[in-house]
Amino acid sequence: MRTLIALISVVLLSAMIPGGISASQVWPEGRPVSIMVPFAAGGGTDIIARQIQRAMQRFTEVPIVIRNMPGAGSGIGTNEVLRAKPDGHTLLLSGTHTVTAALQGLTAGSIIQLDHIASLNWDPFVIAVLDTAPYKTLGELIEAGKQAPGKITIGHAGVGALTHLTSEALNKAAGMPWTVVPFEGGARLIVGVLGNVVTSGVFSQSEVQVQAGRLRPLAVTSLRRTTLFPATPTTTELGFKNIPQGSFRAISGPKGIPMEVRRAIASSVARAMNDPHWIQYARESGLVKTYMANEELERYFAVLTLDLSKLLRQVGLMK
Amino acid sequence: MEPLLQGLAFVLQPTTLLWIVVGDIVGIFIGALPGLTATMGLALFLPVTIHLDSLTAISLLLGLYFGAVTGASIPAVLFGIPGNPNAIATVFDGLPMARKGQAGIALGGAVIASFIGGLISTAALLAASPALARFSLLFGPAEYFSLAVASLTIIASVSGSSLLKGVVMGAMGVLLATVGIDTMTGVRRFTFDNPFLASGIGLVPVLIGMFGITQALDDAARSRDLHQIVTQQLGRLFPSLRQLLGMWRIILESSWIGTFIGLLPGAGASVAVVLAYERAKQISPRPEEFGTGRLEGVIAPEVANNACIGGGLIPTFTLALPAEAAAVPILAAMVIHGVTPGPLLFTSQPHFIYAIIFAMIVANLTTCIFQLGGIRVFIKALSVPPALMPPLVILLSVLGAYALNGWMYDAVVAVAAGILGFVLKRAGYPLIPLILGLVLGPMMESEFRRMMIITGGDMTVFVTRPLSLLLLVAGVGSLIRQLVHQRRLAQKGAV
Repeated sequence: MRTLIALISVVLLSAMIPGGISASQVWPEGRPVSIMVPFAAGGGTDIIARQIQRAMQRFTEVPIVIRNMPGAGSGIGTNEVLRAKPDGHTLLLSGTHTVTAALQGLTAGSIIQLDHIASLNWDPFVIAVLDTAPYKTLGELIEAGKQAPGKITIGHAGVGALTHLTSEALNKAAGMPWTVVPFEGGARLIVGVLGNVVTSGVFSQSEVQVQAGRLRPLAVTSLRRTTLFPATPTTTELGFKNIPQGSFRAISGPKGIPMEVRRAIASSVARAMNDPHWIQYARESGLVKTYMANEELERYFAVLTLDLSKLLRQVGLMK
Repeated sequence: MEPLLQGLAFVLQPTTLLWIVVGDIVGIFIGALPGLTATMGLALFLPVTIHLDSLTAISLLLGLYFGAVTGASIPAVLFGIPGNPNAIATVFDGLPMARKGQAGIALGGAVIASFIGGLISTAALLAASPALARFSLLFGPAEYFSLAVASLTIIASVSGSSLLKGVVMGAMGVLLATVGIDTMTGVRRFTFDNPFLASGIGLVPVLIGMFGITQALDDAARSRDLHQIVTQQLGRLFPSLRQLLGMWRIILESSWIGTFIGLLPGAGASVAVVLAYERAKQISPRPEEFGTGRLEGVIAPEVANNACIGGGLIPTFTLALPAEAAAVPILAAMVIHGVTPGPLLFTSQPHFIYAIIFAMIVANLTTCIFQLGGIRVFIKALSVPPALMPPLVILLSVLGAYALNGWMYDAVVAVAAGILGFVLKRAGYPLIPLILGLVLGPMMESEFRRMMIITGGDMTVFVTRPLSLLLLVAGVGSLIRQLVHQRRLAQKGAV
């Protein structure tokens, strides 16, 4: 009898062990995993999502698919995730856009109704002018604005988006020398600056890189200089405080995902971020790597929410 | 010379050709299904291309793009539902032609026209890219605003019998376009705290509703004799060479309208096709027959929508600026594959550009072949009993609208638009100005406000910038001409 009990317990134990030590047994298992991109295919966030999906896919048999659901400044896609079952099979490509959309009341729930699982990167912004413009530094652009009020304009890629908050924060920190002009999307903003409709703009790094020789970068909004524009000073170096560092991106899911599943997803993201293809892609696009998971990331999102809500209140977009 | 041959050699590889053909066929089906747009098809296929090399990837996407734009003419002609916004104007004469038993020649003519339009704009891409790209930069907020005003007044004044009704409908479209988040201040307008209304009233659901559902309701109400198309022979597929040569001016002008509107970011094919249609009406010796089933009325917009592709790719390649939403996935494919679009592309990688140009030519040709080959299959769709047609069209419309984003909301918008369209049509109000108002409203409003922010409220800028002034004059001119025309008609009637 004793041997029988011992035998049964050994069998039971051995059945439990794989589940206990191997994360891959907890997640993804069986059904496909979808990562919701709350923007149209082909944009900056979408490309990052597809790169991380590609890297994550290398380590799992279960298909990981990208779903695009644009609309309401990322609110529509986020709502879809908020409604999903918290089982780790519906994830959100979240980040600063999720925070600003929630604070503006564009999502059905607030930012705390999401589980934040793992962060991917910071994508700093670049303040740039036309290469033929007389301004060589950010200081000169500020000075020109002070000399002729209303003449110097700075464009951003859309109301409520982070480039908007950055342009307003910078303008305020510089003593309001400029007129801030909204555009519908980065492409329209580039036309605006290239066509000399506005003097300067807040761009993503890749946009400025593609227009090399036609746009002159004046400052990067990161804490440290970036690999793409090593010669361009950061706003921090230039003495500006509380300027958003660019767009931050992470993987989140609906609230209530079991902790072991969250850990498994986070470790899968961590592995993907060490994939040579991802590393090369991140370097070539000038992405600043940040990896935080679960509790640490939750705390970070809380700080980010506080900072961004201050900015949104300043520009009157807080709901 | 060498890059040219390299490009040609690349496209003539069997694998490249195979992928272009795959793109074509998928594209034709996407175009033919109401609600599925070229942009959506391209976005869906973007992940597939990640595993191909850069040129094959872009060739596949180009095949899909041409296929989807051309394929949209099928439901436009057969059911009166534009497959996507590129085919709005194809409905005007395409459906009447089908009802007259000329579905074959309308569909065949549309394919030939698409081929010619695609070819001419590809030539423009090859010959004048850098110059045309610079032209698109001349368009600032003032010019965009004036372009929108001019397009809207031209359409409002020429469509329908009454100038007033046209203007009312245009204004209604602009008003509907204000629903959603204000892109200049972030304020929500008419959204009633509904997240779907916050993203605005979509163009495609309204389009599907106002053409598909409205038409079906209209047919059901009149219980119009629909069997003719079913019982009649398909007839000829090709317009004769003489017919085509007789339309040389319409074809050429439509190509240019398509190319130019295509290269302006934000204007889009739906504007180009309507402008090309109206221009064809002006050129034609029998403008009054437009809308009753004239072949020119199908040719002009079909030339223009394919010409928009070449036009839209000019700023995409030379400035890295996608002019149309559909160009975004193509740009993304380039970025993913490490090909940097922009002014340097033409000098640093000429073989790449030549390969793309050849791929466009091949994509055009193969789309033409496959769609012509498929017409007899598509026409089988017509062998449904006539009494079943209206419910079938309504079903297709609702499904199409739902398929757009997977939202019930879009299907509801389509049904509402269908009923509204039916009522308005019965009352003699033209629907096209409303659709165009919906397209142009946001552009008109935001460009105006952007200009006001920049100039600090100085409105003279719209008349002091020559290009802007020219466009405004064209718009006002068409209003005056129509007023004079109507007065003359009224006098004749009095005598």
